[in-house]
Amino acid sequence: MRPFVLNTLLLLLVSACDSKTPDNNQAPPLEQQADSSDQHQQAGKSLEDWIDTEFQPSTLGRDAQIAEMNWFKEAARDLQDIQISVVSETLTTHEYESRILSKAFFDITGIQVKHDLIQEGDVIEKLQTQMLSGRNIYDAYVNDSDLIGTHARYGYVVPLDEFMQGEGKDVTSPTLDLDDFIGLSFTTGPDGTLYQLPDQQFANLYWFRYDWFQRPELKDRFQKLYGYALGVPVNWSAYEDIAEFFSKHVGEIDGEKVYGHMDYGKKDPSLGWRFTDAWLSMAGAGDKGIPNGIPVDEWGIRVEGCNPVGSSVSRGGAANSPAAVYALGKYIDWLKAYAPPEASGMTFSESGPIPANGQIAQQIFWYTTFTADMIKPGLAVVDANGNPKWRMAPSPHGPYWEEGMKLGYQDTGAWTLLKSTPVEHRKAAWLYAQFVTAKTLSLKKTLVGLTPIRNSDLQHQAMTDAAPRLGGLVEFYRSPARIAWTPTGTNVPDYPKLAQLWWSNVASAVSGDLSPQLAMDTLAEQQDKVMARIERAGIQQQCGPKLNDEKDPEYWLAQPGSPKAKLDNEKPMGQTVPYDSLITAWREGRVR
Amino acid sequence: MRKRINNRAWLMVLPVLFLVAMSAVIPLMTVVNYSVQDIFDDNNRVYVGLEWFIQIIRDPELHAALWRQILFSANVLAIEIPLGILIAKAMPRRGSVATGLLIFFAIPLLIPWNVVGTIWQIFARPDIGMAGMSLTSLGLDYNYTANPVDAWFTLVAMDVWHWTSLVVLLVFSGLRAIPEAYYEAAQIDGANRWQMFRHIELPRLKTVLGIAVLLRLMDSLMIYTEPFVLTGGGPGNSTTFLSQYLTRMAVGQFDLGPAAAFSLVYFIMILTLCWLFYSLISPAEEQTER
Amino acid sequence: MAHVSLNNISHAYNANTDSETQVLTDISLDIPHGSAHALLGASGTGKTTLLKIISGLLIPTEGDLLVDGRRVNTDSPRERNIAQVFQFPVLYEHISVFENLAFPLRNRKVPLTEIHTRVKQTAELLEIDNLLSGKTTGLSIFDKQKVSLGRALVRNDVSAILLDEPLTAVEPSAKWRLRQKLKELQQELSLTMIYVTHDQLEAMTFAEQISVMHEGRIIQTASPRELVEKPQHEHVGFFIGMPGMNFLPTDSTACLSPPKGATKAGFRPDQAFVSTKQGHNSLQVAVIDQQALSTHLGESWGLLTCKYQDIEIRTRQHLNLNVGSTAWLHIDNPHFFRNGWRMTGQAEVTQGNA
Repeated sequence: MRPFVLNTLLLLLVSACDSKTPDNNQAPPLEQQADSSDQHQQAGKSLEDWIDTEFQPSTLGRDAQIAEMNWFKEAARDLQDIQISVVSETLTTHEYESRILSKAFFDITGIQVKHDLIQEGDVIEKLQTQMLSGRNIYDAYVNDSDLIGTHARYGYVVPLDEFMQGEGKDVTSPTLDLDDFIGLSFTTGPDGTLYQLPDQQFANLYWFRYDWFQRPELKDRFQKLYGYALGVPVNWSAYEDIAEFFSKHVGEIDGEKVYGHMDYGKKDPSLGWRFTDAWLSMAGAGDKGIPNGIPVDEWGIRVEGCNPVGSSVSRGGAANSPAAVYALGKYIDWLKAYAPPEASGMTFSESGPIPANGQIAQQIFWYTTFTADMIKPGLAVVDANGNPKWRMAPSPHGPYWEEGMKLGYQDTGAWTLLKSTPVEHRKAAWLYAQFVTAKTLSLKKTLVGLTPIRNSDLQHQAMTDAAPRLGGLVEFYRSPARIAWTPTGTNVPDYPKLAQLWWSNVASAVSGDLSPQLAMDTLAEQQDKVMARIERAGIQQQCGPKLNDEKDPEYWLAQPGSPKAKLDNEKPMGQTVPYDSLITAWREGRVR
Repeated sequence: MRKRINNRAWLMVLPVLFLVAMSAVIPLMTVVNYSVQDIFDDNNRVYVGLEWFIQIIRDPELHAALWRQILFSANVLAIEIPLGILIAKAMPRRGSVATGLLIFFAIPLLIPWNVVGTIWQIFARPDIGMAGMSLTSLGLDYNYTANPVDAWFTLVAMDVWHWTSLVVLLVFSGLRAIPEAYYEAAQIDGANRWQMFRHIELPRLKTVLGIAVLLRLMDSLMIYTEPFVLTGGGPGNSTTFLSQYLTRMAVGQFDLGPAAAFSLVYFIMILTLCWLFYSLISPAEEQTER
Repeated sequence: MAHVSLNNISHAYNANTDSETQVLTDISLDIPHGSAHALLGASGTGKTTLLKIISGLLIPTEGDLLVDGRRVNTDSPRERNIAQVFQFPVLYEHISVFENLAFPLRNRKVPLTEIHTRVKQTAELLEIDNLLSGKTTGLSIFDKQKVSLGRALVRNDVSAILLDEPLTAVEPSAKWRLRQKLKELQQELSLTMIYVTHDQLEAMTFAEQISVMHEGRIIQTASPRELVEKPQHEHVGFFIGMPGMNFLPTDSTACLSPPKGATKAGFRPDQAFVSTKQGHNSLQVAVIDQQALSTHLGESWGLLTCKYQDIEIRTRQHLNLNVGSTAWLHIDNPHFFRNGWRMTGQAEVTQGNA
């Protein structure tokens, strides 16, 4: 039984390279002064010292900062002897918390925090182990809000609304200002209850070489070949044309081979992420609805009320609907035709920094967590003044997409408290969670880690000043368009079990072992099987799956909304917008 | 009197029984217990009987993985054993050159398996890897990340690189153990090199080769880390073996019931294959012993 | 069968080229057709090396090896038609006894029908015909050695059969039977056999001629009788006989009237006796041990150990003395040695071969 012991161990070791988000070496702090506080790390700094030397700039005035910090000091009075341990994935933001904010928290409140940084997969594993065994491993977890549907249904997680009114009332900050958080809807369950507190947030956008798109000779050539202007693609037709244009027609720029597309295709869990994150919704497979389609979401799972009823078309779902098959097919076609040949052997984290080497013209599915990788001086994608040659823009959508649907992925790593954690520890951890997201220091944290969570921070002058170097990140977060980028929603009743089904089926389609249709059929069937088991076990009291009986798929395809019938023309005329008018629209508070 | 001594002797066995129970029987029984339930957490389990076993035995993906597994093991054995013998035979029997070569051959065995995977992942890359680039420059359309045949070829090459040394070391030690007189006798009997190998070395290496084949067979049946790192089991399922399949279930999905059922099936398959093989080589063995 | 001659053969192993070790020095030997010859010596005297040179496993660094007058120094063992039986039975364990016997014939592409007859004949000769179909692994060492011997006998082109301590591993009870068998075959088939051993009894009962080896040299080649009666060298005297020859330095035994130049007087245990009577030329000794071997005419007969000065001396005689008593040693016509070599009459014997 060696595979059980050794290989599991090795798997854990190896999967260290496959984090969804790049690790800290890849994302150094943006602001140089962020590190300056390192020198002031002697124990026992006063509350005022921390405010003056570290927590600047801030959206609060000094007096308000002192008042807020004093509240923490008072609230912690009865918890001083407690030592808590919390865990999060390895990100610049979390590293800042672990290295600096946990010390500040100790100096101010007297509560000692061991803030562990491990890979994302391991965070989920630890969380699952605590949930399944009921043994307290960490006092609090920062995990992606993709698990909201799981948390809301299984009942292992402390509902924050209840906690803030009850047990945790005396340790809930009066200046928390929940409405200021931009990702609150992601952490709210189908029952309207808040389960997690956002700590860091990132999105998934279209990335392109603004400088190349501005070159007159390329613009002319594109116009002649395709009959419309080279610009930010609005639909997948345009994206495909531009990909073809750079990979096949342009071929080389300034003596370097260039590609019109970048992606990744190694058989690996991360292969599933891009699909479960947003890909089907971008193609238009689900229903309208923000943050997620109702009744059918981007996983193709249909709900009635809040009960999942199926993901196969025959049960009213859309996981194997024409739009889903189209989405998978396009991913494969583009990977093979337009991406560099080695891309098919890469994982998410290996492919992430590739555009920075200056050979990629555009990437449809690009995570803003890689921003810091793309703005280092001296890179092929940064000009002599240190400004990026690239920009981020809204992702284009497929032919099945309709106005009012999710357009991309945005997620928030959020504080999660489990019922199996002792109350005193939970209270202390809750204080720490509020501390690292408090207005006093949240703007500073955002400038360090580029993962904004508060509207008040986004509107601050400091963000305006940083904007030109960030390729559109600030403009995006400030625009109303932002709400169309959302995480996995509440239709998904068991994220860990269901997410695993995606990558192996996608891999079979990538290699051609299965046609996209067959791969999605298999996937839909497997998803329904997992939901049937949850239903049979009767473990999800609330909003648990109640599968529909199977019907002729034609019945469901004929109904309005998702699942949608196959379009006669899946490649309409390409459509683009000039980046500059788009950014102006964002700045003026319009979607486009 | 005699009887009492025997009883005491049995008491001496107790610690061993205890160890075996703790390390093998109890975990195995836990797996058996899991395999007939659908488990969500400690308090939520549903008895499902043989459902997981039936599901697994009917799973076409598993059948494919099993055949792939057998083909892979056959492939690497067919290459590593003869190659290992050839190399061991070509080595000087003693002296500093032999020592140097032995250390050289031990190197791949000392490298952690995930590192082996990483080495080959880079080594075989068509754009920057040495092997990949040379193949591409020969005009071959080689890309192990996209072409199943290339992936298979790369994986077998990696395994050969990694494990032939084990065969070399075993065979070398086996050859060293053959008394000089056997070679002299054969020379005097007028045997040529092939006959010496066939009639002296091969029969005398039988035990050592049996061990080598058994080790490589069991190990290749359980291969996990290297293909996990190199190809992740892809492209498609072309390099997905049984262990990958299991790990996805057990670790990825936390699906303990089906994973337990599968481990049992996997365990029995490996046991059966090894037993089959062992009984194939051992009748001859027994005669030698008597 | 053939006539094997060694002319001035020397051999040195140069294991690491820097230090070379001389293991054989100037060996000359003539083994006529159909004779049984033994190489006798303690271990490490170069017997096995010499055998390897004859069989062709080693090429001598100096000298010539002739088979029927043809120089074969560099011929391979296969070309030389020499067979060898080893200390431990060397058999092909995975094949039957029949195939073992057939092996040298098959390697020489002998026709199949001839293989069958020859294997049968050989097996009958060795009385192992009932074992032919079985494997070799179950056999006793006695039978195994017969099979190895069979592999040598089966070849009708064999010039000589070399036997390297063939009885070492055989069960003690079977040693005598195997030796008998060997002797029988040698005589019946008039084979040229060269038999290496450290056991004088084996050598004496087996061979017509024995070469005694010492430190890489042959110090005497002679018939068993001659070796006992006329040892050419102190070592032969000491090595042959049970017990070996007694030696006394001539400077303390002037009464024996040694010839000029002699350094030692040597005499076999039955060339001397100890009695209470002092005689002419007798030496005074202390009796220290008596070992009875038999009784003869009511008196014990056996080995007596006495001490002359610091030298122990053994005699074979009536044991009619008391241990601890003083007595007189009478020596009958001793041999005289000079620098190790025996002197004949007054003339110094030149070292050489019979």
